[in-house]
Amino acid sequence: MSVQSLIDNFMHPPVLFFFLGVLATLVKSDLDVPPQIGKFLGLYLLFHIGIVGGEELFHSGFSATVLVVMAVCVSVSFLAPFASYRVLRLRLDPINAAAIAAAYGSISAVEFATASSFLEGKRIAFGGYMVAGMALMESPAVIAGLILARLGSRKAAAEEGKGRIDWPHILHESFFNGSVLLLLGSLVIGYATGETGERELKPFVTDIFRGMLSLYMLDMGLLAGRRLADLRRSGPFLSIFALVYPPLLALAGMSVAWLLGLSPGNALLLTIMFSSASFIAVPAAMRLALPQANMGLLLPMTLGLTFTFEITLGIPLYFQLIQWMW
Amino acid sequence: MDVVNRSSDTGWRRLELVVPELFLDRALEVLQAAGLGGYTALQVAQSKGARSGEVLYDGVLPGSNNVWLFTLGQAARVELAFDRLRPLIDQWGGLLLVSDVRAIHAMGLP
Repeated sequence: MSVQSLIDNFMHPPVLFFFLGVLATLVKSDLDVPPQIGKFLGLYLLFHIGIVGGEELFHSGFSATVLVVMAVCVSVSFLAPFASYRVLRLRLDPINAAAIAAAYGSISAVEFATASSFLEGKRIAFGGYMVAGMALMESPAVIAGLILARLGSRKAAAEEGKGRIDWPHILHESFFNGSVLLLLGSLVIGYATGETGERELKPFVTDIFRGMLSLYMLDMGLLAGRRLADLRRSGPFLSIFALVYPPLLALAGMSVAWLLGLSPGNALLLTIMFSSASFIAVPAAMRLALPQANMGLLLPMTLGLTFTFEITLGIPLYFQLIQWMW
Repeated sequence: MDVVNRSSDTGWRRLELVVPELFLDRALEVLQAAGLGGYTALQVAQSKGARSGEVLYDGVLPGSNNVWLFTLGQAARVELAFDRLRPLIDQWGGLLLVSDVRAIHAMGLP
């Protein structure tokens, strides 16, 4: 990857605003995004991704490739935690290993939006069905994480006489949590309303998207900056995992995209879906299901390190590799 | 209704909880089951504890919002709720305390 392409990637407002947020925490500025505004920006982002994905799906229609990509997303989301769990168990107890493995099996919608923005900036097309694949990756990861926690701590739980998991509650949370519901709902609405919806929502969905994403990235930068300070608690093993494991998954994602014959734009999004880690929806579901899981370990890894690496170096690096491979 | 006894125990207790908001519903179920129907819950702007360190309310990340909840009840009910909440607080993290009430002025207390 040339230095120039790295600089080009940094010179996007969302990336620069992310680092402004990190800088603000480092210099102890009082810059802050009010919690409810941060929440609203997150909702807007999911709404945008869903609507645009639905509109794209309306234009492209369903095909065998679409269904295969969705099946791949579900499979990877379910299976990847089993691999990462084995690595994490080298240093962690079953509960925390399962919670972190689940987060790395799922995806980050913000990173997906950043990658979409990266592609739009380069005028490279991608399919709306990738959004549907992304939305399907939350629930299997949660279920895999719970299975792992259950298997891993079975002996200890049996000894203590507890270990019952409230499956109906957890499955409800994993399938109907606000993020997944809004994302899938917006996707369906975008698909159902087609061109009419596209025309009506254009000022809100398209024109202001990059500005809203930049503000959200500022908030993410502030949150990541605060979490970076917690990295000392995580220790070097988890920091190395957070930086090394995602690129390995990215390589797997690129290989699958190449085998499926996806376009470079779709290949990048699939790569991001493989390599990114959830820091909102899945950790929340895992915290509910496994109250002992320590967010003080998980969030600095997923948000502080993996997300920061992916949006700065990961996206342009992966895209460069995809261009070489295709 | 007024319950005022400034010199000795009124027989009422105040139960306070600081828990991650994710677990508020479960805590309320326990209170309800113990016969404590009313409560007041507030968002906590910032807190710090031994388990999770500093918790800042950001509205986005899980585990970043704590709530402070208090309720009043007759001693036996509050003690029952306290005993049922203790193991949950061990799992969730947070704070649980019970204190005596010397005076209450409120409508509709049972």
